Amino acid sequence: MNKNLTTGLSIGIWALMSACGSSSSNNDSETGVIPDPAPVEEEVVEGEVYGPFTTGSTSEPKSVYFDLETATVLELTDEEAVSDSQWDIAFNRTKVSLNTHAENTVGTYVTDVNSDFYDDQGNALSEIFLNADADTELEDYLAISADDLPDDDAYSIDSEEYVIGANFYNYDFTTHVVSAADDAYFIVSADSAYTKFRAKSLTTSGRTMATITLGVQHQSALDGETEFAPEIDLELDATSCDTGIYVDFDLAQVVNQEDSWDIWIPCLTDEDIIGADFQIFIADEASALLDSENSYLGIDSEAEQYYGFQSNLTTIKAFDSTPWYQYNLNGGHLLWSQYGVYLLKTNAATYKLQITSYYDEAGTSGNYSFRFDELSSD
Amino acid sequence: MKLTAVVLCLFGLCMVNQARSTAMEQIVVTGTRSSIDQSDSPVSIDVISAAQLQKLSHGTLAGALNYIPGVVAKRNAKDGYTVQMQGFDENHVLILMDSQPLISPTGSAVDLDQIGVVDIERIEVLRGAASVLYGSSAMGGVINIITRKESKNHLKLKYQSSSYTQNNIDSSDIGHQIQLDASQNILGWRGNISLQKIEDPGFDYDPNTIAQSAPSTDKHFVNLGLSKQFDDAFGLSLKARYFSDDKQKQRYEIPGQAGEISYLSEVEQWQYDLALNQGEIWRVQGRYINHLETSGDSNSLRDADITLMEIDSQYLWNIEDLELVSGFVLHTDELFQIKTATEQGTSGTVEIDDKARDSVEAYTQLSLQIDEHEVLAGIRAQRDSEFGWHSAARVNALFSFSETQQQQWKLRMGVGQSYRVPTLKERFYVFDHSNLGYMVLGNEQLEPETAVSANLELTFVKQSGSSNRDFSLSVNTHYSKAEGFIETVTDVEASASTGLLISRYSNVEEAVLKGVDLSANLAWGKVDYQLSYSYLHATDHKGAHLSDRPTHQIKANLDWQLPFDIHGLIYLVYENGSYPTAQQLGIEQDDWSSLNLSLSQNFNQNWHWVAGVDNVFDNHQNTDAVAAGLLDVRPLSSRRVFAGISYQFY
Repeated sequence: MNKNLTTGLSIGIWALMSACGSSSSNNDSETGVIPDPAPVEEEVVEGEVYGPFTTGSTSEPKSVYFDLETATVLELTDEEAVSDSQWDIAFNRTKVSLNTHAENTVGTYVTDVNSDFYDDQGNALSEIFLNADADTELEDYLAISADDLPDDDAYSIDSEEYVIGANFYNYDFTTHVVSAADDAYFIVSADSAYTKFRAKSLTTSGRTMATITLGVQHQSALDGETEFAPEIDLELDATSCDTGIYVDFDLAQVVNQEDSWDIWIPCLTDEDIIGADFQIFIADEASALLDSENSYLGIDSEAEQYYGFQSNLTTIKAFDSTPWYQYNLNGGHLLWSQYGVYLLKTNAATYKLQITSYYDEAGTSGNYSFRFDELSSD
Repeated sequence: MKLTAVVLCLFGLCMVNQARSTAMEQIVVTGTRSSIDQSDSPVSIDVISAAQLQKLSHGTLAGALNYIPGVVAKRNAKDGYTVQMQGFDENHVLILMDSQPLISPTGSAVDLDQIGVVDIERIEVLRGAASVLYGSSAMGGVINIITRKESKNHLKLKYQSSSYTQNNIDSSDIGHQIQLDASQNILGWRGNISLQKIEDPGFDYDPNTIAQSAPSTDKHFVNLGLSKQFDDAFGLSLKARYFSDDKQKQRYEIPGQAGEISYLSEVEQWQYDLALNQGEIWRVQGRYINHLETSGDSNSLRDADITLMEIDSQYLWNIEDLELVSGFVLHTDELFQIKTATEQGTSGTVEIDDKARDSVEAYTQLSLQIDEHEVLAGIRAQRDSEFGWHSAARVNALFSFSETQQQQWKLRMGVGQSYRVPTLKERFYVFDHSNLGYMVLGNEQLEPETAVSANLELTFVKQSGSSNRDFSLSVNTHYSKAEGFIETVTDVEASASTGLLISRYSNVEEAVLKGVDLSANLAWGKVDYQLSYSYLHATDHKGAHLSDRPTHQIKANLDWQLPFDIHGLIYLVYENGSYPTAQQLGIEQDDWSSLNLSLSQNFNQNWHWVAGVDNVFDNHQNTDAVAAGLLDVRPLSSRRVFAGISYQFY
């Protein structure tokens, strides 16, 4: 509407100027100078579908980095994309990423469009998914306007989190006292064994951690154990920390960095006080989860993949919290868009975006089509 | 109730029809690897003759074996046809052609819809384990397709058309089948040629949906044969077989796009056989088969290049009442499979990288005749390039008790081992769906699946001689305990390290399969009746019922010689009591039946016609229920009306 008004005004002003300056026009004709025609703006249709853009195959996936401002795909390697601030949204097979560059940290907000694609229990309603297409869902898309923009703090960004990290202690912002979060249980999977542990107590020295007592329950799947053993205490002293504190849960003791350890705590020296940092990391080949309710008596090794174990550092993609698709609704191993409308806030503008297809015309998967339009500029 | 009434009606007819002569005794080879009368075979063998095949089939073996008692015919996910026997699924029933194996495009199962019937002399069906004589996969039974060896000079042309009636995709759709079959003796050499083309338009239960129920198919078969019998009973045979098959059916709309995804299959197969023999004393057979296949959904096609090579040699000693048959087999399987590239400039994904397995196998079987009785004992040893040594042994016995020449009791019993070697796919497959969170991987450490089986069969035969009334009754009980069945299971360590659900083929499943087959045959004048009932109890090691197998099966066949040399054939199949898989959510229907009718007539020496209806009541699967995860044992089938005519030039 605004673009149409602008175009109309341009034409009107040009016509008015032409009429007022008729004599000069004649002069121009006499001198053989032909005036330039008014610039004609390319008409942008709201809801236009872009794509399909291929993200490669399962065995050879590739990322598509898309710049919303110029509506173009940027030819970037994954390494280049890390330091590039121009792209806004990226696609790699089923994963959708947002730029986290300091100069263009893109946030997303999911509007409530098409929540009726799910029942009250959150189950996908196949009939609705299968009968939806880009045309039927255009109206919902067009209905989202600048009036629907939320506050800035409502947008989610892609982030990285440590699975344990600093989640084992509490910090009192009033008293500035650090204490063990003894109700936060973590389960570590490493070396065909599972270990549930918590920080039972800790002491501090300056801004470092001086000692920490872990409550450890071990379960060796190799030995056929199906439940955690009773908790034992493991006291760690960080006051002479050198290269870090490394713990092997199989041995229930501190080991050297070269040994087969499961978790480690980095050293921290602050104002000549030697201690440990308030961080716990797991080994590269290990995985862990937070058992916040202390609900697991043991881990069923056959079903480990269903518990949600994560590696040490996990990228939390904003799009993962509200998946844009449903899989295998009709037995064909296909992905069906929910046609949700996402708001994307870049460093320059806010856009709305709706993914319309994961396929090209031949049905090749990994080919994204989507529509987007600018709602406001900053 | 309706079906019961039909069966009773059919049997009622026998009381009013006149007697006719019994069928001729059949020669069989599958149980002993030497020619023997069917009734004298120490291993129970059923036979389908070429004439019966022509009545039962529509150009291929698909569905035709459903005629045999105890055989469960299945349509698989690739719209091919396989069989189960004695509770063993299609991967554990061995399909042979002239006693040598064929290509298995899916798992270890041969697609019976890829075997043309034109030059088939007979089919021998052995129920029970037979790995001693035939090696891998002969666990539930063996189906040995015997091609024509001797023939008179002839030239025959046949045309048959068919319609799926109300399930036609287009109301004017007609299926076509053309056969040309010729044999000629030239300068002492016997030349055979048979050509067959089958066009099938497919069918669809619901024209309002994109998904098509059965594909359109276009098949071509070319068989060439050249053989010569030299003076000292030395024989030479050369055969070349070509087969092609194109299938297509629409499956899904492409999400978010205007197009559709179709299932496609393009197959080309070449087979070359060379056989040398001196009577039945010795025989050397060589076989080479190459199978090229592109199949899958149109957005996810796979190319497979499968090769089978085998040399099978055999020597037969006869010393008074002793017969010893020994053989030596060299066998090679090769497989290359790639998921084709979906984007220009990319190379596709190799899923099985040109893998091969070789085996050297030796077998020997001793037969001792004691009066009317016979004892068989055999052993087979196999050295495989992948898993090393494996062996199997078996003992069979036949006891004959003749009250009179016309009235005989026969007791057949056998106990022994059988096995199936892991396929190249099970060993080397890499199915990568990591973008969806899972992978399926082969396992090079797999061992052969094994079973110990026992069969006991009692047969009573009463022949009335001049009164042309023959009756036979057989009771066959079977028991098998199988171990190391290969299934995909979660690889815990690999899943944990990759963050994906990694499934890997493993020897894990155990099963106990037991049951009984009852079969009664009555030839009364111009009518032959056959009634059979099979019961199966198949469980895994936890006692849970194995899925996809009928507990009860009834078959009733009636072959009636009418006036004017018209033959009528009616056969009924009824199955009941299948159990759902762990993934299925419930049961839509666990029983089904099918009634088939056909009439044929030799109008004169040259002209012959046939007409009939398959699946008269159009019992078929509810595809919506199956898509919703329910068990529906009714086959993907349709009523089919057909009519054909053939002309015998000479």
